Amino acid sequence: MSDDDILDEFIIEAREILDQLDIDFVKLEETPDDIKLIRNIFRAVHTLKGNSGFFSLKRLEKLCHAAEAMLGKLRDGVIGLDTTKTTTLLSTLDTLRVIIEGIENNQKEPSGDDSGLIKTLLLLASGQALSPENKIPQPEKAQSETVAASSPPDSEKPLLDDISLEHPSAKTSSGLSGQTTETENAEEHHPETEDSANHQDVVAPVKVNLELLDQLMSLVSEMVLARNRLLPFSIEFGDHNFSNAVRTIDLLTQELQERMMKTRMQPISQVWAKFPRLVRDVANECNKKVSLLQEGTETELDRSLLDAIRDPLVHMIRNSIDHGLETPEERIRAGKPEVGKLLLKASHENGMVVITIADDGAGVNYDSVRKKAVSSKLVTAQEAENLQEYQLLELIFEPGFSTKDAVSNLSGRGVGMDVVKTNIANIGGSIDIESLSGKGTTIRVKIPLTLAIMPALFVRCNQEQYAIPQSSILEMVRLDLSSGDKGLEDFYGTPVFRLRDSLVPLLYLYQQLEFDHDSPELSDVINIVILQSSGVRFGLIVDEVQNIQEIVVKPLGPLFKDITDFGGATILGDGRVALIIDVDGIAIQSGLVAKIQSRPLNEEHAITRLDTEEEVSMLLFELEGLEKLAIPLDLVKRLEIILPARVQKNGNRHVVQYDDQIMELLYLESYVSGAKPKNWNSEDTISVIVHYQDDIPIGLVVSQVHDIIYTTKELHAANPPQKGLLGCVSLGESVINVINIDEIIAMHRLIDVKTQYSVVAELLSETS
Amino acid sequence: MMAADYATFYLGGHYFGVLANHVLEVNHDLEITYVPKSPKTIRGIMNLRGQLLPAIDMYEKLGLPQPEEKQEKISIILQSDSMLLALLVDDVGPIIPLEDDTFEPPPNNFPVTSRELVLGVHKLPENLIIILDKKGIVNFNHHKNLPGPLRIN
Repeated sequence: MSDDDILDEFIIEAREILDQLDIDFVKLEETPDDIKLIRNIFRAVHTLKGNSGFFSLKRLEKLCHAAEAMLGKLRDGVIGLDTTKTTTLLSTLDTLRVIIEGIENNQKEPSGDDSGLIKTLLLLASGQALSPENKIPQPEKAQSETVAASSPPDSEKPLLDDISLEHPSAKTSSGLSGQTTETENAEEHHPETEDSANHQDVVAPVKVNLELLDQLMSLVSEMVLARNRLLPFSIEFGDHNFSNAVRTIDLLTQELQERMMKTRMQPISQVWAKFPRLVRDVANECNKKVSLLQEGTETELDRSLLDAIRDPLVHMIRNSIDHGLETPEERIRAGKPEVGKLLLKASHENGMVVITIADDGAGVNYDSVRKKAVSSKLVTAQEAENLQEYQLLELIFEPGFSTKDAVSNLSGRGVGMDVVKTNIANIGGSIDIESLSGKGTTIRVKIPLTLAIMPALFVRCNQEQYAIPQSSILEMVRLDLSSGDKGLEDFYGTPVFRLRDSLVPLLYLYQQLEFDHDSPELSDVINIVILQSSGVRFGLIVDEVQNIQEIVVKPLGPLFKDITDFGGATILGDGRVALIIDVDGIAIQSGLVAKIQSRPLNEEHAITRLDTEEEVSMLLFELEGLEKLAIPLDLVKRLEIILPARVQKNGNRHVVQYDDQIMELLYLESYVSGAKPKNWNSEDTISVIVHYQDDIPIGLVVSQVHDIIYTTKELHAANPPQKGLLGCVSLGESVINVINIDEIIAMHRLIDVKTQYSVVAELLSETS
Repeated sequence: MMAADYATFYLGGHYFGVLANHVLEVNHDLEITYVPKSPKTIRGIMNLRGQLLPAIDMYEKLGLPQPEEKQEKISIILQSDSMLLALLVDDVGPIIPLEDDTFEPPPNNFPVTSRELVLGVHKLPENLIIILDKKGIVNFNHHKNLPGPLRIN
């Protein structure tokens, strides 16, 4: 091993130590009494000091020594931890980072004066308070570095990949720290030292160059293809021994591929580890109090994706703190806890990784968005008035958009969410945002598990095979034009067809790819792949739908970069190349997106709202005294207006003849808390929502039926439980109460019974 | 006197040469996948052991009269810095050493489009060899709608 190699290894280990210290210090601030944590920190700094001594890096050594002095006092309980001390320690850390970066670039320590910082450390260690002239000195680059934490030095060149994280504790005892034992001084005598020595029995993780890993990955992909070519031979020759050998190669290759994929998977905590520090710094800068919650840190992602999501996440977190969360005073005024919550959550969902960044801040101020959209000429004032909230949220992703009036250090420079969206889209992901005024904002980022391999549908067009990424496929439809009732229609020059209740515009793939056969292979049956792109749903007509395969995506290279119809290519089992269709590219190229946006095919709701699986449709109605009630639409069979004359009495029940059945009328006002009885005039028509239970119609009598609304599935349970109400959903600014139809019917039946068994019924109603 | 080795090939009845150390290998029967909407000079993409490279239609590139039926089976894999591309040719000849003193600038009757590609010619005893410039082949800038220099992986 050459000297350079040893130095490289020192730098890598030093960075690891600093990264860990970042986390530990922030943790320490929360639990200042955690003596074990202090010891860990002490030991880490001590290791760094020892290593620096070995390379005679004087600046590092002195600084570490001063920090160690203070940490020693903290460990022994001589002094207590406070914000000043944490901040000093963190800025020491920043300085250490700057020095190490310098060493990496020039192989020697950069010059600089740390005496101020060392003095502060020693002063704090001696238990004195800071005098004004001893204010915490900022490290040379720390300011810009913490602010521009989007590119921490080590993210620029991820030379080495720490493959295994299974033994993080063994890390400090691997590599160079073996040498540090020689420089260990008498000061260090606590039991954990022996602990760390014991860890050397554990197999130390091996570090592998990332480039090597990528090369291995592509070799494995090649191997898979070579295997695919081999397979037909074993069938052709029918030689038993040969077939066996091929079978073994087949299995081994498969195993190899799986293991290889696994080595590239890393937990998302790798990226998130830096966030507690980031959150702390940003919060301090904005004078806000934030507690960061992390969920699903063990979720694994391909490492190329991890690199790609780092910057967007940093940006969104900063946005959440700077724009989303309020200052402690504002929060108290709004009746919220002083400390704002920021939730980071990662989970697997349908083969995608979903990362949620949620805050409980003020939410998006829609009026400001409107104003800003008008002032930056994205829309006219008139258009802005008519924009729905979800449409306003889309505007946030437009280039140059920021509602923050004052451009702060942190965010609001207008290079924001559009860049985030582009970055996410580049790795095949999507982003959506939800915001409730006063309640907070939730951003959901969906990204594929891995860039390298993804499922795709193969289709044929003009004798060529094309792959369509499965993530953009909604469904496939086979349309038989000869059957008559279902045909293609024409909508301002675009062929459309009716899929369930909405119109879907169609594109012919052969036309898009400028193949010049006059019409698709003339046939009454057409194959349509329904795709979703840029908020537009459309059907792509192909000659044949083939199969779904896992594909390895390869870039086409810059010669083809002007051809936006393709997102890359993949190599098929037989070695041929198939192009991968870029769904967004095709949609935009065809002009369909612009066309649909200027002239909506369907009611706005139908196309953009119904399609999202997260939403449910509800029927909005009102009762006397309760204006905003809703019932899930799928519980509603029909709506009827009934003349009072048709209502008949059956005992104490009101019934009407309905088709060939008897429908009982149920006056909802009696079962929903908050509703007042309505004075029915004999001329009033009765609005009835028809609901079927066990094939028997029940007429729910309401004062007025309004509209169909689309809301999130998320139901807030009523607390305390309200009679007849399931809970509420939010729709924009207002809160809609959803009725509990089962409970209402149960209550109604109970009342019927009550006349006979009043005692039992009362007991039942109490327990329900 | 300077001498260099040239890889030679035949196209449309002409005899061409490129510096041999720019040539990675010669391959035949690689399947080409047509890329819709790509420029005429690019026949498509091909798979060379897992690497995608563009296949250059040298008839188009050099502005040669189009034959009735193109049957180039052989691709010369050209390497330039980190770029790889395949030149589709009719046939390959031997690698020959050429001396500077037989070199002449391109004749005036050459088609304009190919002038940037042609460094000059060498008069050999039995025929004429046209020396192509690697930079000219790699450069797609002068073609309409084409981005800058190639960079393949």
